[in-house]
Amino acid sequence: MEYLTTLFKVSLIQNMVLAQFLGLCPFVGVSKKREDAVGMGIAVIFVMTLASLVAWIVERLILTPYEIGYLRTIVYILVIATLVQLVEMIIRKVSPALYEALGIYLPLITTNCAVLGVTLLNQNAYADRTAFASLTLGLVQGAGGGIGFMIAMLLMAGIRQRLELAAVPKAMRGLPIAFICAGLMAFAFLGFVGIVK
Amino acid sequence: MVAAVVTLLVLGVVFGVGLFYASRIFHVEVDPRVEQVLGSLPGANCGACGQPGCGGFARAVVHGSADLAGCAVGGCEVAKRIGAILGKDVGETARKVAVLHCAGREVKDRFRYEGPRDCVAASLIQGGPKACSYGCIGYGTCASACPFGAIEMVDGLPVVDEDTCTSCGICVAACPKKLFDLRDVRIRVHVRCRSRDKGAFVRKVCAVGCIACKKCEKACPYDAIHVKDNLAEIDPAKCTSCGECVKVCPMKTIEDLRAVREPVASVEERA
Repeated sequence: MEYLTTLFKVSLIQNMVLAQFLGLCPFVGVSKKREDAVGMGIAVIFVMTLASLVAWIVERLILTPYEIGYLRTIVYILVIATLVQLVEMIIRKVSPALYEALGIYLPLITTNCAVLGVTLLNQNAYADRTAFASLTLGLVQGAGGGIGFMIAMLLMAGIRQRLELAAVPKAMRGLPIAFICAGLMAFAFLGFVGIVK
Repeated sequence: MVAAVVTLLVLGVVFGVGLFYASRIFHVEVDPRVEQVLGSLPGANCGACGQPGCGGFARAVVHGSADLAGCAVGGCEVAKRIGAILGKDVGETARKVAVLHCAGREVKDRFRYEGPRDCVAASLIQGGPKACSYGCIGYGTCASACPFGAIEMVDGLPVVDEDTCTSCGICVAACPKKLFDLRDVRIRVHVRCRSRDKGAFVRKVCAVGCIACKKCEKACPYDAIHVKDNLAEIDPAKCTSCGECVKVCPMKTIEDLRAVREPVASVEERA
């Protein structure tokens, strides 16, 4: 039950983009077309889940035993960046089809702040749990964060594709109106607050 | 302090060396022909081939998922050069041009449309303001979509400049009414209508629409034109552009483009 609640909470109530304001750069940059948004969303889900796993390993094997928790941010950045590079290489070799679909998005999110954010949030939320619970909950939170990101991206892409045709005042065309829409969407997502404690 | 420096140093070195060996192990050989093909392309990155830029097209051609003659800008010459690199023979490909299947300049509006001047947006509302739901809306989405500036709006209808048209097919996809087709440039006779409404209705809303009278069907000596679903359609494989159907069409829906411009090569030379 806790896993379901976590998934719901992290994807909607604490939506990465619209409630925690993380990962705004790809949210605005890659949301012009729906297909791009889907590709980016899948890549983010993939990387966030992986990053949660690696961050957990690093936390339990290096940071906690040697009591160097103050290096957490920089070590996480290092680890995630390396991981994404490695995964990109492996995918390119093993599955060219998957590389075609995800390839251009992977380098973009090497150390996306949403990816880093989800690992740090995992650490904050589940540090005092048992090893197993903190790993599995972290993975669920990672995947959920990615799903939430993809939901936000898809909604935004749909809105922006329609905005292209709308009669928007000249000064507001393009990014300005997109920012306003993003703000209104964030308001709408406030409606989820309080559903889960 | 020392712990921090040592940790980061060790981690950095380990990851660096790890990535170095990983790049060795997972090295992917890139086909050298891709580079060669890329070099022989025009490099406009127009995307008319449907691939992401010239690089994407070069990869697709070498891997066999794109047509040799897929580059619309380069045309026949580039196709031959690519064929030489890949060791494949390229036949003379017939040049195609976009042909509009509507001639209704004077179709009345059913309602006053005040939205954005864009065919896609207009067609979302009741199929657009025109009385003929199949016809050209006339806001020029095709003209602004054409990357080569080959379409010009004349009196509310797009006119294709056959010399500039590269048959990239972007207008075919852009038109919400699907009025464009890519046709062999040597076929000069076209049915300028896509209306599947009944003849009586067409006659009411449009002066030049196909009323499905079947006169063309009877007049065609090559069995190339047939009326289906209230609309005459020419089979491009059989049509010889003889012009018999043009003579009998009572609505002047079928148009002979030779009146506008002579064809590039005569029909008899067709392979």
